[in-house]
Amino acid sequence: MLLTEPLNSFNHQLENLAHTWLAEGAKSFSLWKNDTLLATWPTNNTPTKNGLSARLLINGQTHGQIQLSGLKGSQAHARLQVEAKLLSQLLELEVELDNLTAELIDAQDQLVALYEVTHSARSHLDLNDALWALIREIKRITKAKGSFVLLNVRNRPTVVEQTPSSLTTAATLEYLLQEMSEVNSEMLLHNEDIPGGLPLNTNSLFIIPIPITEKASAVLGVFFNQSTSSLSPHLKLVRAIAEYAGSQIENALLHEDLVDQARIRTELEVAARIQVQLLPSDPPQVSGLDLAAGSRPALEVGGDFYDFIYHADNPFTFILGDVSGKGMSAALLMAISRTVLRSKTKSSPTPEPDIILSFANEEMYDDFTEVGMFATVFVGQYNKEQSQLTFANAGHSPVIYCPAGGEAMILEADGPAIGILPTSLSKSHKLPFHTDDLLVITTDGFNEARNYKGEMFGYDKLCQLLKSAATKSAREISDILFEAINSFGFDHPQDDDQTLIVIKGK
Amino acid sequence: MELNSRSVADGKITILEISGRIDAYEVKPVKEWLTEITKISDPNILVNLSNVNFIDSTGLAALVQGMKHCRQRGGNLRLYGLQQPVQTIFELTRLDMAFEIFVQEDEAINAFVN
Repeated sequence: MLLTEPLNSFNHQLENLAHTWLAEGAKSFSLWKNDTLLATWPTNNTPTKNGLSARLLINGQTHGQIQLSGLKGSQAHARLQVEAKLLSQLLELEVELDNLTAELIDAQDQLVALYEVTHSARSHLDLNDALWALIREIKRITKAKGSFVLLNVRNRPTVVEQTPSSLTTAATLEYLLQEMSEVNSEMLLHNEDIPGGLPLNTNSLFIIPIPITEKASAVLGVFFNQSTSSLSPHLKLVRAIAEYAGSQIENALLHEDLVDQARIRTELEVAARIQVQLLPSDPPQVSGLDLAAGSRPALEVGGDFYDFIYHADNPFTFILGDVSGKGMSAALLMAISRTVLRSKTKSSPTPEPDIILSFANEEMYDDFTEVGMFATVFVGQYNKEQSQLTFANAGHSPVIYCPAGGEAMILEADGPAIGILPTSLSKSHKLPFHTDDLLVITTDGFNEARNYKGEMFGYDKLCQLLKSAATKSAREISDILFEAINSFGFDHPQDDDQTLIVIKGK
Repeated sequence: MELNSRSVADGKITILEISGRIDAYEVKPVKEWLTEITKISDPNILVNLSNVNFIDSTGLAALVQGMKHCRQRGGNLRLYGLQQPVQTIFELTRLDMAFEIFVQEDEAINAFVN
C-alpha cells in the first residue's frame, strides 16, 4: 500500500527510466511489491522476476523492487541499484510528506473539535449543562455511537450524563467507575471486557480519566462501532477533549460554589437583619436611670444579646447574655435564650433574677448539652423606691460597678453559665444604686479584645476607663468604651462579639 | 497550640496535655480528641492546663462538653495546673463550681483512684 500511492506521483520518472533502459536494449522494466506486479514497460509485456533487480527501501525496510530483464553485467546492475536508491530517497520524502500532511489534518481536526466543544460549553455555566454539552459534542465530532461522563465530587452523589440517555446500565457504570478508580488511565474495552457486554451496535468503549482538582474526579466514556485500526484519530481527539474538559468542569464547579456562597451570604444578611431586630432599638425611658446599650458581632451574626423588659407592674428588668462560640450556631441559641428569658420575665408575677435564671437553665440545659455550648447571662432589676438593683449572674463577666466617686469593681458571678450544670446555682443579690452610680455589663469581647501584638485589653484597663468616664452620660460612656477597644484592636481583626449595657443612676 | 496524651494508673486515666491558646481558632483538635476519647465507658480524663495561657468561651465550651460526656458515661474530666490568668477566667465564670480543679498532677490522679 505504501508503495502504490507514491508510485502515482513517480509514474513519470519511472516511465523515463524505463524508456532509457528499453532504448539501451532491455526487454522490460518493471516495478514489484513482493510478488505483485505494480507496473511494467513496455506495457503489453508480461515480465517475470528473472533478471537484474534492485530493492526500494523506505527507512531501511524493503517496500518493493525494480526489475530489469534482457540486460546483464555488473555495470547495468550497479546503475539499476543507484536508480533504486534515488527512487527510495524520493519515496521516503513522499512518505514523510504524507505523514506530515496527515498530522496537520489531525491537528486541524482537533482544533476545530476543541473550538466546537469550547464554544458549546462556554454558554453552559451550570455543571450538568456543561457535562451534557461535552458528551453531545464528543458524540457528534467523533461519530461515536454514544458517550457518557461520570463526575465524582467529594461529599456528593456521582453525577452521570449520557447520550443516548439509556445507552448503559447503572451496573455497567458502577463497574467502570470501580475499574477506573483502580487503573486511573485510559482503557479501550471490548465486549468481553465488560460484564453484561457492550450495548447493541457498538464494538468498543474508550474510557479516559478527566484531570480535575483533588476534590473531584471524572471519567469520560465513548462508545464506537468502528474497527480498532480506524479509531486512532478519534481516540486522539477524545484525549485532547478530556484534557480540556477538566478545566471546563472546574469552572462549572467554581461557578456552583460562587452561586452557593452568594446564597449563603444573602441568608446571612437576612439573619443579621433579624438578629438586629431582636435587640431593642432604643433603651426605654426608666425613671431614675440613664441607659445605653450596643452590640457589634465579630461575624455577620453572633451569640451576644441584651434585652430591656418593662412590663406591667413588674420592675424594670435588663438582661445581657453571651452564648459560647460565634456565628450561626451561637446566633440560633442566642435567639432561643432571649425568648426563654423574656417570656419568663414577662409571665412571672414576681420575676426574681435568680428564678428567671433557674427557669432558663432548666428549659435550655438539654439543648445546650446536646450541642456542647452554654450561655453566660446577667439579669438585673431596678427598684426606684429603694434605690436598689437586684441581680443574678450565671457565669457572666465582666460586670463592673462604680459607685459615684468610688473605685470601679468587678462583680463576680456566683454560679456557672446556663447549660453547664443541671441546676442553676446563681442567687439574687442586692446593690444600692443612687444618682451617678454606674453599672456596666459587657461581654468578654471587650476585655479579651486583642491588638496586633496579641495583648489583651484586660479588666484593669476597662475599670480605669470606666472610672475616668464615670461622670459622663450612659450614651457617652458606651461610645467611649467602643471607641477604646476599636483603637486598641484597630490592627487586629475583631475576635469576638462585643456587647454592653451601661446603666447610670440619675 | 499543641496536644499530647499519655496514660497513667495502668491505663485507667488518660492525661491530655495542651499548650498555647485554646480559642475559637484552635479549639477544633481539642474537641475532636475529647469526642473520640469519651466514646469509651468510664472515661477518666485529666487535662493538664499548665501550658495554656488563654482560654476563651469556645475553649471552655469544649472542656464543659468533654466533662459532661465523661460523666454521662460513668467517668469524669478533671483539670490541673491552671496558670493564674486561666484560673481567673474559671473563677469569674464560676466554672470552678462545675469542674474539679487541682494544682498538682498527683492530687488529680489520687482523686480518680479514690
